[in-house]
Amino acid sequence: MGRLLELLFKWRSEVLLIFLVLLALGLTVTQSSHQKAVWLSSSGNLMGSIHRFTNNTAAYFTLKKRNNELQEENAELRASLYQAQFEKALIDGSFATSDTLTPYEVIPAKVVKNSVLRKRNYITLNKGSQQGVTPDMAVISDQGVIGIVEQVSENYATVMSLLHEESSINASIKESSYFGSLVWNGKKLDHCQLYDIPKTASIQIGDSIVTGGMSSIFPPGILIGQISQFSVPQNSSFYTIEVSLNNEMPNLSQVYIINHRNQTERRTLESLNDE
Amino acid sequence: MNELSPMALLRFVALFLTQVFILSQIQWFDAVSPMVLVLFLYWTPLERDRLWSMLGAFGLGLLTDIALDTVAFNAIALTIAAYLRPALLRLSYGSSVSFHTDSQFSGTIGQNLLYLFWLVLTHHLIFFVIEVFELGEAFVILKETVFHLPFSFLVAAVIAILFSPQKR
Repeated sequence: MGRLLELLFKWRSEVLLIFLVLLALGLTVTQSSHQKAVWLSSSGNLMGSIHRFTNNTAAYFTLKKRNNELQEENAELRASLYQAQFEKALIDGSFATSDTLTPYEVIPAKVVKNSVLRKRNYITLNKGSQQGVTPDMAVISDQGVIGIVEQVSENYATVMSLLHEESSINASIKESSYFGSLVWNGKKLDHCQLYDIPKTASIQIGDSIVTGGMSSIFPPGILIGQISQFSVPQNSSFYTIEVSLNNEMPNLSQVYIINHRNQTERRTLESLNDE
Repeated sequence: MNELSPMALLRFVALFLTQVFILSQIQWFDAVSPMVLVLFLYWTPLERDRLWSMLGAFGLGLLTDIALDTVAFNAIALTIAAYLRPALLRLSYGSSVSFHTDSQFSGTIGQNLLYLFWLVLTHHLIFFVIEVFELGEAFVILKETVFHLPFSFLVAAVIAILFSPQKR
């Protein structure tokens, strides 16, 4: 208290100035209509700016939470979309399967590690068995296909990247019904190769490559990339197609794990035929 | 020197009456009335405590505002001018000015007029800022200040010269 008085005494001129000016300004604003109007308008603008600033600041600090909420919502929308695409494909007769009306479950995840420099590249995600992730689930991003879940721990999963020399994914040309296998030759980070498309198929550079309906892992119709080059090797009946990937594989952060719920049932049934 | 001297009281009353009953009745070019209340600060001795100067200026300004229906424009302008008085003194008389000398009238006429000019300018600028009350109208504030300043300064200078104490 003594210190406060000391401080007030030290700055007494300034304190008195502020007091007198505020007193006089108060009189001015309350007694004069012009000053009152200007004051109300200015203070309204000022308060508006302050509110906007505090709201923006608060919004900034809740961005992470909001981001997660949006990703969850996105996952649900994607699940609905894949289901719709799946049903449409069945109606159109694009592919035949036993698991009609099987919903896809979509689990949002974040990339915690991503290797691209080896021949066998893996991606580590922050979701594991506790969140319902199991091996052989599809992994995609908003840009396209990423890979397939290989190993799962309680809270993490490793994914065999598209950029893995043993990776092989059923893919088709969007505008036609031809299916092939998408593999990586280990050379370029932004290109894969599509084989087994018969040379009778009509293709062009720029055609989109999507996941094929034969896959029991990926929903059909998910974008992989575009044809950047193609050729037919001598004495071959099939194209060798160079596919420019839609995803920037070295630059991944948010991904979605897709659980095809009837995958096991379908595989078990198909394995009976093999026997 | 913080006690109220009869001379200061007399100046206070005389300035109030002059401003309200004589100068405010003058309307040069139908718009300009000289405002010379700052003479109160001009005549306030150097050694007068700043708090007393501010309180006196505020009181004189507020009384004039009540009489002239100018809300509290003069009160604010005079109070701020009183607060800035030491700085204006240094600006006019040089940084070596001592606040313990008897009065500022030991300076030359030029210095005294310069000091008066700064006081009038400060008062007018603040007065019109408060009157216009919109910084977006800075041009209007400047125009009004520039328009009133010569007349107020002229009248104030004449009164200052006529009624100032003689040099010792």
